[in-house]
Amino acid sequence: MRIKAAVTILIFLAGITAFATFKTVTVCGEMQQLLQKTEELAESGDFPAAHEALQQFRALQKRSDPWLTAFVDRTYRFELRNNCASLENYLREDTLEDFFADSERVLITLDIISDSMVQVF
Amino acid sequence: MILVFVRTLVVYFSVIAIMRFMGKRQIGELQSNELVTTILISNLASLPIEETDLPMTAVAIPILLIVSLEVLVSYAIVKLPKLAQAISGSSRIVVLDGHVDQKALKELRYTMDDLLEALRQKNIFDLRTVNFAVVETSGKLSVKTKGHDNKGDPGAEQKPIQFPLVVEGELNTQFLEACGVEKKWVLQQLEKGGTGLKDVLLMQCDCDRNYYILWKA
Repeated sequence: MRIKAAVTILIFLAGITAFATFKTVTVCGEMQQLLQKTEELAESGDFPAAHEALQQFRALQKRSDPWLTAFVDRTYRFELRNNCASLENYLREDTLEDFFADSERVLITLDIISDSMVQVF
Repeated sequence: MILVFVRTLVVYFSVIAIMRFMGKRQIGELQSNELVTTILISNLASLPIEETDLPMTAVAIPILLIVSLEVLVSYAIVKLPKLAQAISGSSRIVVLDGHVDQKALKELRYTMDDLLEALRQKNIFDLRTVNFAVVETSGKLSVKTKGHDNKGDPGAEQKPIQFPLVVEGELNTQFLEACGVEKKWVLQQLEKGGTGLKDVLLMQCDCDRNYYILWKA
């Protein structure tokens, strides 16, 4: 009985480890793409489209927050969450310089989270 | 997460190997794998208390992994006697009929002082009274004295020592020597019963060659 339980736990752990790694890499990559798209649109002056892309980025970030809480170090999560929250204001105020500065920080945080997972491959 | 998984595996087996390398003196009462499990789990369990930034899964996953490994390793030890010997080692006779096996003491890195101290803790102050002393896999010393029964009653009838010559199909050469019998003789006795070593769960024998065999079910 205990052997079966141990084997089940091992299979479960292997599964959850693979899932967490895959999910982190995928979501981080998706968030990076959306943020870069927002940057490109903001740079071209299409602020409504840029704002919409930014909203999609925020929605994805909020959706992924619960499992990031389970698997990612709190320092990175908090950094990502705070930077993402401050990004929203910039496009409305057309303060591009601040927007690009903040988005750069978000990208760095995403890279850190993603790298910590990718390095194991 | 894979990194945590792999690190846990590596640390688990590395620490077992290190504990085996350190020998019985450091082990005390626990078996190597049990001690490793205890140390790792106690250290891991303290992490989320000290490091609040760490997600709980980063600690829960390695602990679950270690516990599962511990269960599987203990199961494998029961099934594979050679693995048991590799992980836990085997017991060693250090005193037989009042004579100290100095080679065994050296290999165990037991000094004469250590042996005498262990004997004194068992209220034995004269080495010559020791009939049989063995260092168990847990590092403890088991002793049988001359002229006493196992409970230390001097008036009781002395029973000869029963050496476990075969345990779970494995011959113990050390006990064969202590018992003064040869492998050939053991195999001959087994052949009389029409069986081989593999079918034996336990074969005990004393120095007068009175033996007892318990067959595997």
